[in-house]
Amino acid sequence: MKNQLQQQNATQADHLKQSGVQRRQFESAEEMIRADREGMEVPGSVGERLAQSIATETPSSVPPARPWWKRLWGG
Amino acid sequence: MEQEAGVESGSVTTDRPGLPESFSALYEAHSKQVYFLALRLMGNPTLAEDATHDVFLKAWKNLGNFRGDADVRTWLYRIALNHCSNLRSSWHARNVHTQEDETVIEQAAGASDSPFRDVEMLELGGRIQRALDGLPEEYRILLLLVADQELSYEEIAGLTHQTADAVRGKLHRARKAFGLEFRKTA
Repeated sequence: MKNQLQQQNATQADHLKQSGVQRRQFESAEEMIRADREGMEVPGSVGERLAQSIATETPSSVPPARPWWKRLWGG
Repeated sequence: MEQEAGVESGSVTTDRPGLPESFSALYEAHSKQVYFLALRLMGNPTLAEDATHDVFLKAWKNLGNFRGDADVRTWLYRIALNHCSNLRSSWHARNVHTQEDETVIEQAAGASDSPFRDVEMLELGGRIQRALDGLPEEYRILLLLVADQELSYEEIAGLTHQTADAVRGKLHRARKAFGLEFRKTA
């Protein structure tokens, strides 16, 4: 877990190196958190997994819900 | 908002292979915010990836139930906060916000209100994570939400089940607490 976080922070550091900014002043915690977020990228694997999950969520894979009156009366 | 109009009309051309076009636009517009919230709340990239996947899958399944009376971003944040809260519920005892915490924060005012000078950008992510980890969960959530300039105090209040005035008051203390924790990470 610690290694993964270090890896994520290293990716962010690479992004910052490319931007050429090394030191900054921030007026508030929010401004600093926003800068942290701007340097962040969502791993591409998340979108790929999501696309696969959505592809399997076809209407036919979801069993039709029983009508409420059948659930109520055990039909 | 432009992206949301596009999501509804399906007219946005941004696409991600395998995702329906309109949902792809929604993902492109909001996934970074959801991932960042999950990452900094839980401090674990794998859990944050899983949470982002699960939040958008849940959104996909419930898109038909989205009433449109709330902002899409707010709706996604609500799903994300519920998801992360469920994952973290077993850790709750470690993060209960006590009166003692409050006293320490109040006594340490002053210096923590000043700007954050000369911050080494390469260390920023790690230091912010450590500082957030030292805060009560409520403060952490408030700071992460208020950093998103698209959210109003009223929307944050709705997401955190309190009044906008309560949000303002707690944010004041959350900023102080964050300042203290952040300076410890130097």
